[in-house]
Amino acid sequence: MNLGLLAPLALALGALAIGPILAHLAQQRPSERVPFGAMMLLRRMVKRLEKRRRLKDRALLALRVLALLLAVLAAAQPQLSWPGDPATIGGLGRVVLIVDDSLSMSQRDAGGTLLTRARDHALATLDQLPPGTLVGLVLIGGEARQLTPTLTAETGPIRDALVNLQPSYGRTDLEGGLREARALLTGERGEVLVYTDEAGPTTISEAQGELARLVERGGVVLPRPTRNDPPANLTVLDARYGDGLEGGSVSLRVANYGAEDVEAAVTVGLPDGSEITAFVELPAGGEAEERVTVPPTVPGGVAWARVIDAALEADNTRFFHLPRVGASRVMVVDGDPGSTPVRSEVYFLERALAPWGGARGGVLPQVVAPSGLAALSAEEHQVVFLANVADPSPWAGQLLDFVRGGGGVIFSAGDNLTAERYNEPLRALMPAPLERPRDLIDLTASGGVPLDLPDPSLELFEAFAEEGRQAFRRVTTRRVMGLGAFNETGWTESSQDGVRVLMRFEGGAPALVERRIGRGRVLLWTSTFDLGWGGAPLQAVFLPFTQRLVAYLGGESAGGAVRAEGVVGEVTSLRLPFGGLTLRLTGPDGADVPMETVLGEQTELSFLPRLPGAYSVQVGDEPPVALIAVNTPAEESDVRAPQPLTAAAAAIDPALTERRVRLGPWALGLALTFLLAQSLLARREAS
Amino acid sequence: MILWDPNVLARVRRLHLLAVQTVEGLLHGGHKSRRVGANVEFADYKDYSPGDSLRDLDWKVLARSDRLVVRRYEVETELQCVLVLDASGDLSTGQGSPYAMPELEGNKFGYSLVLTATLAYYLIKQQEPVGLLVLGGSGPGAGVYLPARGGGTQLARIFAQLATLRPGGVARIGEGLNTLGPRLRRRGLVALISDLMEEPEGWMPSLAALSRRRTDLAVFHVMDRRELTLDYERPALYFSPEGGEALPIDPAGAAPELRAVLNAWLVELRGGLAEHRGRYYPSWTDLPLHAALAPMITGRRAMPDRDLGAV
Repeated sequence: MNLGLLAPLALALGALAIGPILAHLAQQRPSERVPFGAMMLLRRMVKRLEKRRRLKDRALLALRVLALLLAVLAAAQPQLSWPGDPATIGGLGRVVLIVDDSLSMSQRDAGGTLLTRARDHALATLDQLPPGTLVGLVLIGGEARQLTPTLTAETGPIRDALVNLQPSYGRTDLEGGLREARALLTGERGEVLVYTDEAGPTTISEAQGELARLVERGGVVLPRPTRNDPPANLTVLDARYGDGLEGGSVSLRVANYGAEDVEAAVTVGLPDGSEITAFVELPAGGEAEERVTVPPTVPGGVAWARVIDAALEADNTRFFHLPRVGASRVMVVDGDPGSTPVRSEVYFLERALAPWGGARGGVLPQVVAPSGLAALSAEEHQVVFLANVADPSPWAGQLLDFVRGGGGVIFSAGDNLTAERYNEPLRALMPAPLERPRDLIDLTASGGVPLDLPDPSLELFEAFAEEGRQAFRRVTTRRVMGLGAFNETGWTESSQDGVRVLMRFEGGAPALVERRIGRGRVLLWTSTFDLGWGGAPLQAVFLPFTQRLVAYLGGESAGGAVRAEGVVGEVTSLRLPFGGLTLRLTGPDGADVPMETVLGEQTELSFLPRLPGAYSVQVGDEPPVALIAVNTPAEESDVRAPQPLTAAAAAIDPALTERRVRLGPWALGLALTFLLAQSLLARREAS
Repeated sequence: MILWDPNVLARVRRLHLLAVQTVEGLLHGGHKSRRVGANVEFADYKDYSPGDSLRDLDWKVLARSDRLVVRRYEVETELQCVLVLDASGDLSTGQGSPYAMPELEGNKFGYSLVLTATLAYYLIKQQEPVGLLVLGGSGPGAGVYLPARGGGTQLARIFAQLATLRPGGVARIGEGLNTLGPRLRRRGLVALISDLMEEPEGWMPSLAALSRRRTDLAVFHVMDRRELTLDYERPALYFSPEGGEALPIDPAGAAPELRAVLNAWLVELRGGLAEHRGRYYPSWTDLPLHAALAPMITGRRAMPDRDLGAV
């Protein structure tokens, strides 16, 4: 409630209040003098009257001053305003009903939902409109849409649409709704009633521009907040598979938008149908994180995390991609089975990749002979170590597809590598053509040339940025594989795009070279992973460096299917690495979902998901070529309404959402009443 | 000599005439004169000796101690009376008295003079010695004290003092009564004629001291009805002839409040006097003198309620 003055300068007349004060102080005394023999009694009387008279005098003064101040206030034309609507809805002859059917309106509300409450209110408003009022209806769940092409006096269809209104899973498009309302009003004045729960941290702020335009065109926006008080909702904000490549954990972020602390059960459902439940304590209005460890072997696909919450069930489940989790995701191809551990790369790699033997998770490498490369599968493997393999050329194409699909390959050098068997057959894979091994120092001497400090800005070495980087200096080698495309100072003219040196030995010889191919990477370690050319496996950094190599190379790998994410009510697009095939998009309910495709060498696919869940793209009855995890819009889960629409509308034009009363006549009447009262009191006082 | 002043002589004659008229009027009709204050007091015992009257024998002593003793009495034949007249400035106001004196027409002082003279005449006529103490006043009689004596000469002396007296100054009743105590050798009668316009806590203790000396106290409270009812027409500045701050008063509005104050004051006065065995005689200046004197002379009680009701 606010008090304002239309003529504030008139308050200066308040200085006239000094008049009655002076008059009061300058009371006249009679001049005639009368000798009186009972003055003692008069003094007693005066003393007795003094206290009573003092009170009367003050009351008189107060009445006079108040009367004058009220008269001055009346001249200043005060007016009182408070939040309120026009006396009659429909008074302007045009009404647009905007009903929020977004996800958050599915909140439970005394046996129904907020949407049913809003619908009932809208129907009641419809019944109360003056006859002949032109009415329009706009829904703002997902994408704002007019249900009536123009304003109409025929309310039957509008009533039917409201009665049959169903909740959507989309976000609140208040901005679009106001735009549609403006279009319906076609520049004429009209009332826009907005039935919404105002949920979402930016719903109102994003609509302020359109709100201002609507008001500018004569629209009277009348918010009809439909909220639960206090609001309450639990949701899984985020769920993703963690860093561990094998048997790792799913990280969950759960939010509580209610006003009370709660302990909630969160269940993670895996693609194989198994479920894992954890309990999480959620502070009021806060979030909590939880980790759920998945079994060592889980098929890849779309998993889900669900929190039990009755307030708004539609957003309880969050879908996320889970890569295939299994113990055999790293293949180590042993190209040089040594007679002693010292002569075996696999001996060191096995221990570096699975220091606990796989019993506590981590990488459990699958060691195979070079012929085992035939079993390489993008579904089962992420990274392949080719340790001093003499001739991988028979599997060159398989390796190339593996890398293009997101897999990672590491070649380590050794005495078995020859330029003839690598350069030409594996031209499409190798970061650089091999030459002959080159001794950096005498091979029989002890020690070797150490590595340069790695660049911590590189993603591969980020984990060593704070500590451990110096440990690389202890890694030495005496011999490296010579690379044709490089000299000791850097790139040559023949260097290819996507190739870079990640690490060098002191003196400039490349130690680790990377080449990106498709969605995958190929790394070439120019020394050995055993003690043949250097001492790398003996250094403490070897284990974390090897683990990091696997994480680095396998990060993009998710099996054969393309993975994508989407939001209900928003167009979701993805690109498939092939073209010319007939695709079928299946929704979480098993029904085909219409989509748009742009064919070419690659296929551009887009569709509008209406339901949350796992969508899959298939070619015939083949396994899915793409999986899409579609979720409800996260902002709809925040049901707290941080900025009421009423306040936003009032900020644009306070007159829209308030009622006013002019207080001038009241002040004048009160002033006259006080004048009358003071005259009566003064008369009584005089007597 | 002031007594040769024709005006004074006229006043003396007027006083005498009014006093005689009043007293004779009061005593007319076969009233038995009453000796005010007369009594017979026990003096002591003496052993019985042959020839003493057996009526004087104290039989109670004989019964208790088996001794024959005779009671002896001291008979007082005279009652010392002192008239204390308030002649302060406040007495010069008032207009309701029918007892006109030259230059004192109708005011409270004129009434007080006649009342004092009448009392003096009456007491002298009763063979009592009468004295006079004037409180305040102006003129030759101001502050005068005449010791109590009997006879026509004393009466003439009192009349002469009264005839020369004019109202003025401040009475200071308490101080005056205090000076009177040592001057009274025996029990006596003190009659105070005053408008009592001094706060009672200033003079009531002095009256109490006289009372403890077993002095008979009679207070003639001189009141002007117009003053006490504020029977005035216009608002004016009211002031005391004795000095002090003037007060702006609207009579019409203040009269009810003054009436309440007056009643409370009269109750206070009566209560104080009753506590000290003093007799209170309201003396309204617009009523004949015998209205104030009759209760004293005839022994009838005054009727304060009726008097108050007239206020």
